[in-house]
Amino acid sequence: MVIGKSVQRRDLPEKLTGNAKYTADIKLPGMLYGKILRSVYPFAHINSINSSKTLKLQGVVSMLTPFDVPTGYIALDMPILDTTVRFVGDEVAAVAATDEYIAQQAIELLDVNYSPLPFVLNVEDALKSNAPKIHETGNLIGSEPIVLIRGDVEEGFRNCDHIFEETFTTPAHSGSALEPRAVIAMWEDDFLTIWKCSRGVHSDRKAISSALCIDPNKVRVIGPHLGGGFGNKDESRLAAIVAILAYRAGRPVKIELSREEEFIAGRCRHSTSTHIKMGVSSAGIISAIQVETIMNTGAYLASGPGVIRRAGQAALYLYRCPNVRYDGYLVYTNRPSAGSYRALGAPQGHFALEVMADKIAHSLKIDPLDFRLMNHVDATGQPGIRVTPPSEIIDTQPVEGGIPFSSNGLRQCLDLGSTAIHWRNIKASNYSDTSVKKTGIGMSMFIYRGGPGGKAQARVKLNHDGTVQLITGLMDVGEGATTVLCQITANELSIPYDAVRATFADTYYTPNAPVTAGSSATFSTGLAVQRAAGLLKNSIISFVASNLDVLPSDLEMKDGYVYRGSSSNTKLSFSDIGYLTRETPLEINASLMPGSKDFIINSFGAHFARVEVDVTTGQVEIIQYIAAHDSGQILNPSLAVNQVEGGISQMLGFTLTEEMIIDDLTGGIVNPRYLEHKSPTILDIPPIEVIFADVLDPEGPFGAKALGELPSIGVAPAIVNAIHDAIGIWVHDLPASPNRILELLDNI
Amino acid sequence: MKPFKIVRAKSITDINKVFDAAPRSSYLLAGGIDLMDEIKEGLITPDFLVDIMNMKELKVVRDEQDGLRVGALSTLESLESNSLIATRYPALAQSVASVGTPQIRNVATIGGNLCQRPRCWYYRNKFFDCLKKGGKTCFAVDGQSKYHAVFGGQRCYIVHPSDPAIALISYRAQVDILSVDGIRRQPLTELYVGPGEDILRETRLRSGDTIKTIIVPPIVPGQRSVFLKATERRTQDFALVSVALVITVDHGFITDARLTLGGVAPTPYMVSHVEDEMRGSRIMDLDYTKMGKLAAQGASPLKHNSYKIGLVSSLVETAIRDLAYS
Repeated sequence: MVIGKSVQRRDLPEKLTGNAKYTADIKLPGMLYGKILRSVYPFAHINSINSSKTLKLQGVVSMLTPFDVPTGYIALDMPILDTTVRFVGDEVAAVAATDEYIAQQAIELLDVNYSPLPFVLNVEDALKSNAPKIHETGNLIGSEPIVLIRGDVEEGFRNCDHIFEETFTTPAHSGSALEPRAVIAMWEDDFLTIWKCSRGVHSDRKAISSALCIDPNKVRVIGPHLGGGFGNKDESRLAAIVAILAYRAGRPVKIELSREEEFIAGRCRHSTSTHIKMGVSSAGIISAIQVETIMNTGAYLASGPGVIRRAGQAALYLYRCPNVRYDGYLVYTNRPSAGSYRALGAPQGHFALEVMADKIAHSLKIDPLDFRLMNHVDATGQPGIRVTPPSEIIDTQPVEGGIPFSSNGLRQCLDLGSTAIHWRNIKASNYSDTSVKKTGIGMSMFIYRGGPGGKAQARVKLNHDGTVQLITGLMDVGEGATTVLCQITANELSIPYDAVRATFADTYYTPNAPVTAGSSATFSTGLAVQRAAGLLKNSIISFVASNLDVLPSDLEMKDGYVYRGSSSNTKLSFSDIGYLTRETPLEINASLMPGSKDFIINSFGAHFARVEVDVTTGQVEIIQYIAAHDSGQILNPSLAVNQVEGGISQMLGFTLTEEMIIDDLTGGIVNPRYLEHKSPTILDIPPIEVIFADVLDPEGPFGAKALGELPSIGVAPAIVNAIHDAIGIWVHDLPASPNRILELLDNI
Repeated sequence: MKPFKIVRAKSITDINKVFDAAPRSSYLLAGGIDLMDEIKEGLITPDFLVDIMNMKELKVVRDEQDGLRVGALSTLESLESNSLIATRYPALAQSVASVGTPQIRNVATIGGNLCQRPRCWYYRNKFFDCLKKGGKTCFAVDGQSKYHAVFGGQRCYIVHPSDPAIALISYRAQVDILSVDGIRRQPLTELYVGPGEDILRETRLRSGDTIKTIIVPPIVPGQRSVFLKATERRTQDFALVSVALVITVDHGFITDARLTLGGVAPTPYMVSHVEDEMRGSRIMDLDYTKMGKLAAQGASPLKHNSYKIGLVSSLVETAIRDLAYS
């Protein structure tokens, strides 16, 4: 069995030795370097661009402005370039030149005539009736909130003993991947090849070909190693710009964003304001949850609709509750565009709900762990009646009740995590701190989509040398899909892990694939890989059966061989079979729509944090962190632990220090750099203990469920609840930075 | 980035040759830490970088009668690992160790650290044409001021960025400045100039001048010192507030005190009224909380930095208490 083993990740040697090629490492003969001119106004109309000085500059080869750009759209609300710019840093024009410095000078020589427009940076202002409209459709996306209802919240509030209400806010923060975005475009006649930072080469190809109005078959997109994406590198405006520059130049062009540009023009997490109202009985049983979230998507929609929807799922489904209502407002402003960022809206939604849960427990004098044990959703799901027709696949983010989970290890996570941190002992110990450093413990729990994503495809092929080629269009965004999917292939065919070769992330050689998103790769593509490998096994057996003139049922596949009967010495190796089939290789394509018609497939977890808060400096130190996860069967423990540690580390920043700060008067980001967009350093990362629940999901490949995004969901509430336990103050607004802690302590 | 030439200098004459030829576009290159930032941020566009790392006499650390002489090109790492500094000048050792990361300290020099430009996020950002860059506005006044000055801002609210400077000033360090006219010695405090006097500069160094040596006076019996720094993360962070306190205690009485704050004012902020209050007191009888409050007196915060007032009080209080019980 290769499944369940920590086989070495496939890209480890090349990454450790520095040989791994990232997009920016690629240099093509004759390649030019491009630079983007960015808007200095948060909202403005561009009247004209005088490029005469630019064009006179020696070394300038091609240029693109909104006045000579093809008319296609790269996204619903985003032309390739526009005569309206909507945030400070929005793309205005681009130049390609023989070196980077010339390109930089060239864009600085462009004389842009702007008409600045009144702008709005905050959702409250943007929703006012007289607010400037950032797009013609209005600032409230879809003109109304999304409203999701189960039961009757008013009824729930009438039938409870206590009603609690609170507002929580979270700021925008950048994914701040180590690798800034980069794109290279090259034309060979009318065939376009793009290398780019990607999280889905096929979706990128679709966006680029549609924006440029060219046949998708004339576009090849390749995703080299990705230096961190976190869901974030899913847009193609830069690629379209570079493609046009290259076309006009007749030479390949590369654009690599600077660190500063990456902060400004990359995509950040949506800032939110969440009002939450909960009805609870005196015994602590929840009867109603009502949540309203207003989300700032910035200048463009990007994946906003998915984010605002996902932000509501905690309120709808984490606690067993007959009456829930979620209203989600997604609003345009003149801030940098928000987008997909690890777990989309789930961290924001869980922050509000899970801190609220602690506030309620505290107020009712119930232990927060007991409050959750009393109320968490169990394997039977939510009360209510199924609405989805029996023939349809159940959504991974359901609203309706009456549907059980395929597996639900939430209770197990609560038990395992609380035991590991000695929750009961600590709570019973009645400790008190005498020094300026106060300690406290806190917890959170969470629910998330379990892995079914879009239609998944995989191709497996027996190579002539006996190795097996796994071909998928998926992009390994660093999480290790190329490793885990090869493990599935090896396992299914009973061959060594090393005997599997992988072809990923190149539209030319691979079947269509969804973006690597929603923690779906292992589950969804994994199922397709498992099916394809299973079918390849059958066709190998059939081939050998006819070759040896025996019945397929007489054959057995084991350790890279096909044996005639289990005790026989007659066997054919995979290399033999590969050689024999070299003229017409055995190859299987499999595709499927992942999901279940009977069950909700969700993953779960519970996080526990022990913190030390220095009341003189406001510094919060995490002393211990326990992460208990139900992601079904873990296919590669080492990679899985890595995912959990990474997610937690990343969200320590969201919780304690990170924030994209905008100058209110000009709309410019003041901190587009690591120094002041304070991501944690290695010294800020606490010891993290990762525990996996013993759950085997009946729907997932080898019992697996989603994991990738889950670790980032529970961090903020666990820590904020621990801060309250330590110093008795509730942090409603992230980040819980020293200045905020000091201000809150000052106001007691 | 604009291409530039690196010229290696062995002497002040070498330096001046370059600076005379291109006074506006020549810059000294030592560790290059802040210099590279300034180039990348578009603050400066040098044609010539004069590499002075070959000036060996600027690297020496020597214990002499008039005090410890620290060559300006000593790396922060070399000072951090210097046992003499660790035992005699703990506040200096602590301040040096608090800078950046080990990678930065391996390369950064003490001279460069003392002369680094402020980290104000408006100043460091091309997008904002601020007073300090010859513009018309200090954006921090009405804008985002979390990290800005609470003392002595006047028109420009930068804060002094160097941690070692705070400690060195509390030790009453002096600097020898090498220029075409020879060497001049002055107290480190006088190296710095506030925005009230010159908004475009933070030091009085003239073009081509370089710090040669830092002279830290010998320790006296009963001298105790401490450096404290509040930050948002545990490494690679500038001070929200830093405090360096050097006192002399004789039979339980404070006979001398020197208190300097970083991160709160455009120059190292010396709190003489607290020093006066401390001098002559019995250290165990001193009201530390009162001293802390006193240190923050006169602060005038902007919109987002009033937390620094409490932080100043806390750190000063902690510093005195630490020394009382050390």
